[in-house]
Amino acid sequence: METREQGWAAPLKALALDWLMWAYVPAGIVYFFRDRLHGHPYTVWLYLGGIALGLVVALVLERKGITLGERIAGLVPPEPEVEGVVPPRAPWYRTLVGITGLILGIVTLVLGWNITEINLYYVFTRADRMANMTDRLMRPYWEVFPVLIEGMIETIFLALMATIISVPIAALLSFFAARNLMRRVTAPYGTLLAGFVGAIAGGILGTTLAGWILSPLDSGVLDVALINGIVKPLLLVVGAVILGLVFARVMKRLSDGQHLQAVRIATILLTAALGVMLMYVLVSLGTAVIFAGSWALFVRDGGPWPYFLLALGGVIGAAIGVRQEATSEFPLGQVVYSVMRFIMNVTRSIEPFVWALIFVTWFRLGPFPGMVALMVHSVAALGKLYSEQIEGIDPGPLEAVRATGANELQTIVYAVVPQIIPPFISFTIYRWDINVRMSTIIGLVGGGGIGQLLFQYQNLGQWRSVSVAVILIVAVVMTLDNVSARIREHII
Amino acid sequence: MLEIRHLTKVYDGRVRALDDVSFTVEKGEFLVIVGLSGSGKSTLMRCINRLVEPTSGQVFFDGVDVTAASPEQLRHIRRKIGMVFQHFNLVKRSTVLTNVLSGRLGYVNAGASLLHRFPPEEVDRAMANLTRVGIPEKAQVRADELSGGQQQRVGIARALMQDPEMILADEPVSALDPATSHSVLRYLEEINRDDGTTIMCNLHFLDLARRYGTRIIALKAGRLIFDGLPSDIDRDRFREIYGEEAVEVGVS
Repeated sequence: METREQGWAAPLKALALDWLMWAYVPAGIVYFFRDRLHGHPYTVWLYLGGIALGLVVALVLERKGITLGERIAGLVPPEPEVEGVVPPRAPWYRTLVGITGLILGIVTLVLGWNITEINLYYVFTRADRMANMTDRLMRPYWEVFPVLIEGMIETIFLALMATIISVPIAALLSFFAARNLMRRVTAPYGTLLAGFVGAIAGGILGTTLAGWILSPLDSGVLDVALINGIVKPLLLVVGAVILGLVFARVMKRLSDGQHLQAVRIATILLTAALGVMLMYVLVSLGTAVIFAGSWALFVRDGGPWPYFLLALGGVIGAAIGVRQEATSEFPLGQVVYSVMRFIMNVTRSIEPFVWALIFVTWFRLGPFPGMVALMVHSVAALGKLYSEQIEGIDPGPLEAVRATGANELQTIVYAVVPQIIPPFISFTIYRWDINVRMSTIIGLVGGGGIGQLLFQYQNLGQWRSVSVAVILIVAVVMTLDNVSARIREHII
Repeated sequence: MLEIRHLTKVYDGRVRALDDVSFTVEKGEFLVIVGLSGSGKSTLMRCINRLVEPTSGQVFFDGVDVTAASPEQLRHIRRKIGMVFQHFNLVKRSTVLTNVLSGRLGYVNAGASLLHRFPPEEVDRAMANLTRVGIPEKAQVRADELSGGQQQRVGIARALMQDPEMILADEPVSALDPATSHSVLRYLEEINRDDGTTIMCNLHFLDLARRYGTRIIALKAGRLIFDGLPSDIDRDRFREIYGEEAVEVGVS
């Protein structure tokens, strides 16, 4: 084929795709018989054989004609052009691509049927078993209506509070997650580094100090838990802010005063310190995630290794510090943007249901943990939507306001904010709508509201009460859906 | 009042938008820059107030090196240089008055301005400038409800709020029809004549350049290829600026 001369990447991609597809078929067949093969020592060899067979089939078919992989990779030879004659096209079931697709489709459907354990026998023979339940569902037990209304009110307010609290947080964060605003933000490397290392050192110092102050407290007289819970984070933040600012100020003074030698030494030392800190964090995470251990355990059992790793971090840091110019501009905005986006994406991909499980252990059962769970998810979801709106604004007014000599904050208030208010309102209402629907599910893990009641009734088999809950949920969700759609229509 | 020395701008290390451009502008001039699209006219303007960072070269405004200015100094320089844009660059959802007042942001108390509070004399100044461009009655109207010509007049009023020593007008009439073009340019001419404000204006059409400019410079592929009086541009010069096949069309 002539197209093969176009480079090696596309044919390789085609082969990989073909291999994957033809390994899937034998592997799928082996998986189909997994119950009979259960624990059989040769199972793994069957799978490996299937994968090898896939490669062989792929290679053979690629010689025979155009395979599906080649089609996807874009390796299609030009049709032979004959003057005035349209070459007859083979029907799809006679082409290699068509047959491959058919086989893959059939294998997938059969495997899917097998894995989801679709059982038509039950479908046709056990319908009456459900009739008993539906019969009771059809006769709602209206006496529980007042209780459920209370639950519903709790749910609606839970969703409302989660939305209201999340909006200002998400709005603030969204500016830091908008590429067009953050791209221009830079800071001198030296000052930034000093501030960062100072903040971490200050945080550690603050917590240690809190420990010293709080340890002699008498638990009989005071609420020690409360004092601990307030003083510790407070001192951490205060320490971080003070020491961070002091470090940054000193570094800036040194740079402005042209103490080049001192700046150079400080940069190397601080980067080395940063290297040690990062290595500590990395090793702690590594021992925890991979070996279920901790830094303390590693120090106890690891001999000289922990110290060696810390020193290595310091040396690498110093080596980088030697090459860094303290006055060079560090792309702070780009880094903040990437970190914000990453945190938002992770937070958003964890379902509110799971967040509720976490917060129930912190705040005990009830609507409070449910609200916080929804709020955390809302902050991440709204933050992403908001920041995308900011990225989509017309840059013209931004340029114009900046050109008048306005500062960055004025530019944002006069050129960015007016452009994003309508979509922000629209997304917020939409989010409240989503939160009401989600809070019914959060109730299932003890997050309060009507969901929790529904789950209780279901556990007790009180289907007539469940029925009332379901009716109420459907009514509220439908109403809200309608109202939110109308409001959003008016705004945009 | 403005001196440009060996100004060069290279985008992404590849595209040479400006190539060693040097010239000076005297106070009170109406300088028109002509050239094809992509010849570097807009980049030149944006390098003067550093909306675009020049790659090398220097810009002196009233004897101050703009290219070496700190962020604080740069803001002080910027507020003395008004700017008018091809697509007006108004905040569409804000009122005309707010748009005009935003031209004063470099002067007013920053904290109060964040809460949209302006001293009464600034509001009076905004109304006076709107009156000057002939649309005082539109003050409370949303900016996107105005016609193109009216929007550009709001843009000029916004620039006037800065008490500018110079106005950079980046193709101010390219998005307007011929009649409106003249009306907008006449406002700029009047400001130039009555206030002595230096005007630097990018224009597409040579007849507009001849009609309003006291001096013309021409750019081609980022290089300065002409600097002289409007009357000096004859047929040969025209061909040099716009290419061999170009035919001069006019805006009547």
